[in-house]
Amino acid sequence: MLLSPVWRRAPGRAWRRGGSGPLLLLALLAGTTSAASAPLFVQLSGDDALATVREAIPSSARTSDSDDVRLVSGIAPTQESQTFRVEQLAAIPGLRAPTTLAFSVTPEIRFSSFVRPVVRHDGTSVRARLTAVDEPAASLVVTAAASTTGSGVWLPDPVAAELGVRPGDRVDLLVLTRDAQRPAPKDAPPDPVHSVVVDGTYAVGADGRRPADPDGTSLWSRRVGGIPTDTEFLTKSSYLVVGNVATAVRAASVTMDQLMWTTESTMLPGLSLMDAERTSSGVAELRDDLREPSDEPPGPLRTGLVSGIEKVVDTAVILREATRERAGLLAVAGAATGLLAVVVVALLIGTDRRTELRHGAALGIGPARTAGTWVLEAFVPVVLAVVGGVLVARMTLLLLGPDGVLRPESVEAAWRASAVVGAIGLVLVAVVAAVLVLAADRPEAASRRRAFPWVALLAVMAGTALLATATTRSTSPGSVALLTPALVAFATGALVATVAARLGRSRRTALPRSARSAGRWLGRRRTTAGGTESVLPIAALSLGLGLVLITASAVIATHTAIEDRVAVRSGAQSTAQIAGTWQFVQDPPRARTIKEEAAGVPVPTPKPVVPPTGATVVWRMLASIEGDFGYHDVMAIDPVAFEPVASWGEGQGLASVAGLLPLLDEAGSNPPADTPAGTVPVIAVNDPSVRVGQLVVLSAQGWQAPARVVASANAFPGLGSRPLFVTVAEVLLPQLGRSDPRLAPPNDIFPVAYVETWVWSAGSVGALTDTLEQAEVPVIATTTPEQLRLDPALDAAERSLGYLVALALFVGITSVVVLAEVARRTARRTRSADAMLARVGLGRAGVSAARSWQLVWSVVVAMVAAVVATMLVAPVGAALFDLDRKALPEFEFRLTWQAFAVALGTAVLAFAVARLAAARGSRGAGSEEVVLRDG
Amino acid sequence: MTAETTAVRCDRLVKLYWAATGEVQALRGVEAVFRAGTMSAITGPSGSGKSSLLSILALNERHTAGELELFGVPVSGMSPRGVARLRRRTIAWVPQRASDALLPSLRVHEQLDQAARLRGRKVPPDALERLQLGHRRTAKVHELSGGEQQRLATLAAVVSGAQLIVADEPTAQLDDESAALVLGELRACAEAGSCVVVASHDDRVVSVTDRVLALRHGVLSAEHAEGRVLVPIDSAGRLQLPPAALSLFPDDRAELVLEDDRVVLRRPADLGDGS
Repeated sequence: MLLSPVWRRAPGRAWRRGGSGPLLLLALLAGTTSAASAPLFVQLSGDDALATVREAIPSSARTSDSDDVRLVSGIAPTQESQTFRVEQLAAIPGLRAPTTLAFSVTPEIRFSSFVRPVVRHDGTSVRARLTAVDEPAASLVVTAAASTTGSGVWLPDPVAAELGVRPGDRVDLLVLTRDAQRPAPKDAPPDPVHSVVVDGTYAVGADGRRPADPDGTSLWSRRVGGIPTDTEFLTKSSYLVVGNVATAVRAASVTMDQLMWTTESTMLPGLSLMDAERTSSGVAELRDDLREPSDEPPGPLRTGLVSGIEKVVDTAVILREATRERAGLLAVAGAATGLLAVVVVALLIGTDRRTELRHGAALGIGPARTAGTWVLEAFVPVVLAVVGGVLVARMTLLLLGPDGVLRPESVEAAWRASAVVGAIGLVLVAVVAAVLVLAADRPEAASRRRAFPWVALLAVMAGTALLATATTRSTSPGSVALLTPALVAFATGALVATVAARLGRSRRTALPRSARSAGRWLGRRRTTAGGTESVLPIAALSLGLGLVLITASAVIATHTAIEDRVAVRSGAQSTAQIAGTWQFVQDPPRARTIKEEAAGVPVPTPKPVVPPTGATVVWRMLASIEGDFGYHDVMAIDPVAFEPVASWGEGQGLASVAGLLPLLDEAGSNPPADTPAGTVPVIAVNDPSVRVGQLVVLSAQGWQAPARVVASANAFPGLGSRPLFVTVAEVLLPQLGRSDPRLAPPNDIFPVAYVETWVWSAGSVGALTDTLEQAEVPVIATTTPEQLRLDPALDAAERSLGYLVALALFVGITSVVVLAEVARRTARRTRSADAMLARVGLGRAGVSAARSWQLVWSVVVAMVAAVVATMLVAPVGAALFDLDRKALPEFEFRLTWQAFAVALGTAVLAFAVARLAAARGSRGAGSEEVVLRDG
Repeated sequence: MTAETTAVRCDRLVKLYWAATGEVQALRGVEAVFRAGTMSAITGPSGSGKSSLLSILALNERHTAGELELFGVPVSGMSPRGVARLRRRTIAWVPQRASDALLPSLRVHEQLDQAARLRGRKVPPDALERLQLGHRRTAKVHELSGGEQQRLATLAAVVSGAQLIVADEPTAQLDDESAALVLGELRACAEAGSCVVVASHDDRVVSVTDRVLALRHGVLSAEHAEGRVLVPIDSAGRLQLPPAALSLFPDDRAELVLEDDRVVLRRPADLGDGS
């Protein structure tokens, strides 16, 4: 046979007794899963982000802000020159089949003349505009229809009633260009008339004019502002005389009515972001095409494109890229941790095979040959890990990740990433094998040789990494920085294990006094032996437990930071901007006009306002500090009503800020005696330039007020990009004079100070807007935490939480299995000694107790090391896990009891599994045989 | 290589260990020569330095002082890589724990095949049968008994055709029949030109060797060869008395009288009557 036995036996060795297969597979699986899940996660997150962005599009959004596309033109799509454009639109991937719609726009085109499209019957005319749709009967809620339809028009019920027509009757369509007040010139021809049959009638919507939408459609309701207005009452929509395209073209041609044609479409539901990007590109190309010079005359009828698809897709792409950055970092960190685990496993296997390596080296099986056989041995586990990584990633993401369908491109990228990690793992195994053989092949030195100080070296590396992370100026963590926790956890484990062994050795001189205590004595002797063999497993377990603890803490801290930051940005669960609180009261007092002010008319007293239940009013304005440049946000609140309504997040920092409100309220109602009259108390937020107790002068257009800083805070609900002064509305607003937002605006046009009035509520935005509508208070704008969560940094952080949890879970499982395997191998190796000890008086119970003691010691030391590692990492937690360190409130990374409980659970599980594995490892032949064979 | 070729020369070999209690002198100037084509046994009580000497001869460890020559090559100044190369080319080592000299992933016949291949040799077809391991041909290492492992480890050393075979207690776990087979193999190697050095307490071993070197307190105390007991004199002129002779000198002093063809040691006259 060509190959020597060691080569032939190598591939199958991984799965034989004491083989490296299961351990390597598991260690590498952590890395390959991590690497493979990144592209899959990014793709699903992107798709989910697109869905979220599309869901956030309000129904009232204009086409330029929505996921619709409209090809608008004065040329009918049936004309040859326009057919090409419509086909271009229809060819864009990811769009629904386009539909055609047209409205009469003659009044708007010929705005300087008297133009009035009407429908007439028996001398009765009703203002109505000619409208074209592809299939009128399917687009309308038909109330009556003729027996045969297709070439006529459909009238709204009110129009049909007013004209007294029924389906099958004939009506005249014409565009009036004269009336009684505007007679036609003598020789002018009469307005052309087109007689057409009434195909049927249809129901109108809530406004009494717009067609009602058939169930499941929104063709008419979503065309807010898209339906032409009545030619007489401009605030109302026009009645529509609806016909199919051919009918409308014919009628318009006869009556010389100008139709504005729109060929429109919308993005398909459930579209992936990758497909949506193609759609967006298609829309952009068509837009560019239309911008080219053409034969069409300039003007409002020139063919153009309106769409918000590019904007919608761009927003989703920004969210995806932020997620990609975050997931990429975590994937690198996860893959590196997995590869580190591979090195640890390879070292553990090397430790297990030390004698064999030495013997092999003595025989002539050198570093290259050993590395080769180890590569062959690891090949199948690596292949399984590569395949398993992709499968586990897919399964995990399908179960726990964002909803969506994985696309071949991302699955292919996942295979590539997994294969790269697998290949690196294979190389690392080979390198470790070669190094171990080189070390084993050296005869023991003639003189005393110090052991390689790898623990000290690791400690120095971890310290350096911590220092570098602490002093970094980067505002977001890099992938190398994310390796710091793994390095610190591993180094701390090694260090604590070494120190613990040394301390244990110093106390182990006394021999056991009874057989009962002998088990513990033996266990302690074995665990405190020190050296790489006992330190390495503890360091590996510490790596796992430490990462579980750190990751769990990071998950909790990230979740808290997201909630706090959303709370700070949104202020409350829902906010609605209104024109002013004067809208809440009957006959509100009006602010003085400039003339009244000059005449010295006194400022009226605002009527008290009772905001809706569960809501409070917040006034916002800009002001500057005298003697300083730049603006501060000023937020005037009712401190008592504000506290239960505002969002305070989940962290301790923001919660403690709520405690400042009574201080503000007290300072507002009972100002200190030495305070100048009219001084407003303020809480200075995110402004380190002012100090508590300082007196400053706030000024803005139209008002000025002294302000005393009663407290300061880093963050506050409603904090924006500028520093914020929070003050008491009751103290500040009266000083605004004619700008007092509680007064109805003056009826002159002289500008007043710009004060925004917002209603904050702890309830939903729907409930708030309903309440305001019932109070007949128009809503200008609304905000919700959900909208603000679409911030890329917050969105990426939120999406990556599941990723972090999965990573921690996997690392935890890996550490449990590594300890179990080490316990099994150790038990097997010490079988003969255990059999002998059991015979000489220790008994099987004593040996078992010693083994338990060893494992308890390992787990406890590793757990202590994990806690120490987490405390070491805590000061740089923000630098490691905060995606946006500039955001407020600050990231609070600390060891929490929840994280500790998770790690403790993992430790207990590790002990239980390892104990079972050790029992299995020591099982087998009877003690007699064991002594003979192994001894 | 002839029977007169010097395979190993130990010149004042010293080996120091550092233990928790301080420095331990395992070998204190051992001087010995092992020739090719011979089989030597090293005996001595526990702690006498047998294992240290064997480990140094097998190049598993390096001596602290003195000189060691293997097949004319001085080892002391060699690089670790050179030592490793020399060991691979010339030495076969059979440790006391036989399983340490076997590759766990290989089956019985593969152990021999691998050991032979690495030195460019072939395994004799009857090798396993010679040591009554034919029926265990496809067994794995952990399936063998302690005695079988010991026979297999010895056989692997034998089939490798090493110029120097160093075996530590190769018959410790063997019954008389198996021990005879193992010793026969080693003897055959010596007769084929190899230098075989065996550490043992076993009389069965001593009976088949060409000579026996007795170690005591890290120095060579006696050499039994061709029916005579020789006391080695080191290059500094020192020799070690056998324990039985020590009682003649209760004051640890001896009067040395040089005569024509002999040296007489006697108790000093002014200190007593002994001689």
